[in-house]
This record gives sequence, C-alpha cells and structure tokens, in this order.
Amino acid sequence: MAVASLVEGIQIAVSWPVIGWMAAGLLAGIVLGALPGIGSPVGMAIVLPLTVPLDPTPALILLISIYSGAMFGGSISAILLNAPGTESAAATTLDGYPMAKKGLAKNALAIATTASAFNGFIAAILLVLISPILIEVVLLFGSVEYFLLAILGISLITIVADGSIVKGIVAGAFGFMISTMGIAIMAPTPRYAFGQLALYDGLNFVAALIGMFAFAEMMKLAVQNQIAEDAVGITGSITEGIKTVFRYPKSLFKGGVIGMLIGAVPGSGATTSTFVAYAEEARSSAAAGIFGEGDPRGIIAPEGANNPTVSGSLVPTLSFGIPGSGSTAVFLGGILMHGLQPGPGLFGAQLHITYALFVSVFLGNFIILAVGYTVIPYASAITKLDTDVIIPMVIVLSFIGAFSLRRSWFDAFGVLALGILGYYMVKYKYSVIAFVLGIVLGPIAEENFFRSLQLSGGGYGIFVSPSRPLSLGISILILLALFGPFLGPYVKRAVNNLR
Amino acid sequence: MVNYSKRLEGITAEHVLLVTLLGLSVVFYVDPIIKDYPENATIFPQLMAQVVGIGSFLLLIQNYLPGPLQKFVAQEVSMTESFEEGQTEGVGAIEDAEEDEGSTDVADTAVDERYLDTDDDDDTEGVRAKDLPLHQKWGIDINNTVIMIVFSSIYFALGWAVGFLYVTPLFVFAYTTWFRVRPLKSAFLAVLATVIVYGFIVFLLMPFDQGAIVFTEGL
Repeated sequence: MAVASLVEGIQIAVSWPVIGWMAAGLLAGIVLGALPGIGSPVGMAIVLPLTVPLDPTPALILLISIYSGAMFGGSISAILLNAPGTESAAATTLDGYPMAKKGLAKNALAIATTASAFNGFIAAILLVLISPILIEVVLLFGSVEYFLLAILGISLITIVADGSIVKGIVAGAFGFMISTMGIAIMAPTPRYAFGQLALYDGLNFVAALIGMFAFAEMMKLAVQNQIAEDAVGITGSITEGIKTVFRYPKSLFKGGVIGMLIGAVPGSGATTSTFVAYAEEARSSAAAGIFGEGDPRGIIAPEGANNPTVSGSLVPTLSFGIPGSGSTAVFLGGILMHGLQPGPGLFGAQLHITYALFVSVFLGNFIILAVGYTVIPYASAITKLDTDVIIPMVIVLSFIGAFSLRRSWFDAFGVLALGILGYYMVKYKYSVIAFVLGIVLGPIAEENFFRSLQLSGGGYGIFVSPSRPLSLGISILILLALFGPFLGPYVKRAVNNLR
Repeated sequence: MVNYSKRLEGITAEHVLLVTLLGLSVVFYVDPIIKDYPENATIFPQLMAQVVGIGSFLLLIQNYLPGPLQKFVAQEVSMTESFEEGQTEGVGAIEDAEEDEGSTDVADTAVDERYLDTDDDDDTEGVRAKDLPLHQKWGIDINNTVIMIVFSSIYFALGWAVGFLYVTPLFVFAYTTWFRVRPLKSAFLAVLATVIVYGFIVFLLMPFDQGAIVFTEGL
C-alpha cells in the first residue's frame, strides 16, 4: 500500500498544474522570506484564503512550498541586511552578516543556498524512509515533555542571544504571559480582556511577529543611513561558497539531523532548531572558530537545519495535528480548511497526499538551488532600495496583513505597540526571539503544563520525576542551559582546588 | 540633600521598559484574584507573571544586589564567549545604552550622510544628493524614528476611522515626501500601495474601504 501510495504521490507532485503551484509557492516564499519581517507565516496566512478554489493537494503543496521557500529566502536579508526575513533565519545573521561585511556576501549566500537545499534533499528522502520511526519517537513525548521542550527552547535562546540570562528569561516569560490574553484554553473564561470584546481573542502571534520584526525593524531603519548597519557589497565567490559547505561535512550533517529531529518535536519549530544547531556548532567548534565574526560554520549549521525542519515539522503536523511553528500552524489551518483530518487518515487512506507533499518538498530544493545561485548576483538590489521607500510600504503591509489575520483592529494595533516594544528590547538586549517564541508556544505550553499538573494531581514534581526519564533529562538540560554558564567556572575552580 | 534632577536624568528607556514589565506582571497576577478566574485559567499566567515580575525587579535593582547575585543578573552569557571573558552589564550597560542613545541622537539630529552631496555616489544618473527631510530642513531636531512612529500612528488611527483604502495613498505620499523622495517615485509608491490594499479588498474581502467613523458602508 505504501509503495503504491508513494508512486501515486510522485505522479501527483510532478503533474501539471501541481508542479506549477509548487514553483509559484517557492518563488513567492523566497521573496516573502527575503523581505524582513514578512516571512512565511504572514505569506501563508495571506495566501490561505486564496487556496479555497484549489483541490486539497495543490493547495497544501502551495502552502508548504511558501514555507520551504521562505526558509531559504529569509537567509538573503539575514546575510545582507542583518535583518532576518523569517524568525528562523535569525541565527544566520550572527555569522552571515559579519561575513558579508568582510566582502564575502556571495560566499555567505552560496553557503546558505547549498546547505539549505542539500540538507533539504536528504531530509525529504529520510522523511519518506523513516517517517514511521519518527512517529514512534514523537509518541514518546507526552504533555510533560512538550511543556518542558518549550521551556528548553527559550532557555537555549537566552544563552545564544546577546544579553544576560535573566533578560532572556524575562523576555520569554513575558511572551508566555502575553499569550494568555483571551479565552483560556482549559476553561471558557476570558482573561485579561478588561471589558474589551476585541481582547477576547487575545493577541495573534503572527501580528506579534510582524510587530516585533517588521515594524521594529522599520524603526531601526529610520535612524540608519542605509538598510544595513554598514554598506554590504555583493562581492566574493559563489563557487568558493559552495566548496566551503562541503569542507565542513560534519557541520552540515549535524545541522540536518538537529533540524529534522527538532522539527519533528511539536512546539519546536525552525527558530529553535536553527538556534540549537548554531549553538551546538559554536559549542563544539568554539576553540577553532570565530563565531559571531563570520565563521562559515555559523551559516552552515542553521541553514543546514532550516529545510530539514520543514520536513521534520510535517510529521507531528500531519500525524498528530500538532504544529511545530507559526508556519505549520497556518499549514494545519489549510489542512482543516480543505476538509482533511490530520492523524491516521493522512497516513492511511490519504497517504498519497502525504507522499505528494514529501515529494514536493524534495523537488522544491531544485528550485531553491536554481534561484539561489542565479539570484545571488542580483541580491544587492535589496540593499540598494532606499529606506524611505521601504519603510512606508512595509508599514502598510504590516497593518493590513495583521488586520487580515482575524479582521481584528486589536491585532493591527498590536503591530504598533509591539513594534515599539521590540525596538527597545533589541536596543537593551532583551531577546526578541525568546519573547516571540513565548507568544507562539504559549497556548501549547499552557495546555501541556495544565495537563501535566492534572496527571500529577497538582504537584510540580512530575517535571523532575525519575519515573519519567525523558522529562527528567529535559529538565536537567534546562537547568544546565540556564545555570551552567554561571556555575561552570565555580565548579571548575572547585575541581582545580581539589586537585 | 538628594539631587532629584540628577537622578531623573539617570532614568533611561530601559528603566521605563522594566517598570512597564513590572507593572504588567502585577496586573497579570492580581487580575485573576480580583475577577475570580477559575483555577485552571489562573496558574500559568500567574506563574509567568511571577517570573516576569521577579526578573524585572532584579534587573531594576541590579546595581544594589550582592556580588554573586548581581553577577548572575547582569552577566552577559554567550555560547561563543567564555564566562570569564564576558562583560558585566549593570551600570556600565546602562551607560553604554545611554551612549548608544546619545550617539543615535547625535546621528539623528545632525545632518545624515545620506542627505549630503557625495562625489562617489554610485547612482549612474549622476551625483545628486537627497534633500534634507522636512523637519531637518525646518531646523527641528526630531529623531527620524519619532517621525516614523507619529506617521504610523496617524495612519493607523485614520485607517481605522476612515478606511485604509483612502488613507494609504495619502500616508505613503506624505511619508515619502517628508523624507524628500522624488515626487514621481512617491506617486508611484502611493498607487502601488493602494493597489495592494485594493487587492486585499477584492481577493480577501477585507473591509479596508470602510471606516469606523467615515465611509462606514464602504464602496
């Protein structure tokens, strides 16, 4: 049955106009991803209602292609503008932009293209081959683990981003806190609405993303002389960039594995996977690297993780209906809107649709490679755009895009308010990524937190119970992430004194 | 005698941010108690409010904390830097931030480079420097970001009251004109933005042709 479904899936994926929708979605995704602050969730949300006239398969392929394209597109602005087009590309800015400033922008873009597409190919093949095993692994995670994974994601971000750990924790917890506005998940009670009907639905996380990234970025641009902090010339070598990727096969491999595994864990999207990949690469290669100053491995790791995350995130989304990120949440909306039900159905009677999606993700990487290599010489056009031209257009798109999410003026206002907040958070080194992850994961985290407490009868010991080794392990990782850098030197000193 | 004016001068935007976070955390903690939320709707937001409140408070008083705790609160930790080499924040960080702010102000109040004549302009049409934005031309020292926020706030308010379809071309044209973009380019952008908004009305059925106060019936 599986083989027959796979063959049918391939036939669907390469048929016309399905392949055309895939190409259109990828190109749109790359452009949207390259525009700072726009990214895949907004692009997918805008396109979602337009897919109603389409059949389910091409509609879902269009959406997933936008997601995949934006993953790559985000790296263009991350490298050239120091402004991640998508939240998942934020890790790429850490070394991508410094590398571009050194006159190696072409190398950096070629590294991003190659790492993203190469691991995308591998991940799509692996997805087909090992999806049954991945599902088994994901099934090991219960509510306790899901909650802890959300906390782990934020904890890791706090140690990767600039600023003190406490600032990171405050930013993440503030995101969680804001996410609780609106109707409570576990009880039909409006919270923090203050008598305003518009607040009953809470703040849409996509609106928060637009505010924190797009609007705040425009505020930053308004005081800058150019889009980038310094002029970034499109110089360097594409060929050399491609070669560089294969000079670090270990980094590429690790990025891919981390991307796919974290993508497969519900609640942990590409933002987490790319930062974890970057952090792991920086940790394991710190001695021989110049991370933060343009180390190519600092691009290979996150970019090698982003496309596999798309593949990985399809597993929980399609099998459990649990989105791993904002983009997959929109994608899940598309699945439901087109009358499909995530779960056994998509891995049973409708397996051919699932395989068609997997095959499209695979084929999409050819387009990423083609566009990536041919667009690179012209990518400088983005940096030559006058800031005074970009700013009003992005403001218009931000407001109307945020409003369009739920026809909510509160969401549009949220763009303005959170944009101002985001500007000052960046200025004073409060992790915006941790804040946004808090807002995005808030509802999932709260639901799993509450279920965990239900399981334990209200006791917090369940999060560190030896009877749940997986949750205990994640809890230890959280503590290590938060206190390890602080306690490490004391432990080292104590060990040295003992000697 | 306490010099209050000097102390007030030491207040930065970060202090305002932290006080805001602290205030919000108090609201998020107290509101469920006052309004008697069900317990299962209370635990998580209150827990997070506690984290935000305690964290913000610690950051606010970091300069007065005892050594190890101050180090934990203020220490910048990065995966790419060793702990010992890290830089403490605290007063220094605030001072740095003030310096940043100061430098920004200087950069903003001074005439931006982009508005100066340069001979090495890569514009193939020749050497033509941009004119000063209107507020600088009029000798008003206002940060460009403030101008942007004012424009955006007015655009949002009028968009809500009148409808984005009618306000968008005016906003785009006014903003670009203020920053002395060429009139033809401004007009083109205004038309382009209007077409985008119109596309949302036609394809996504968004009521951008309706305002809450004027044009309430739309087109």
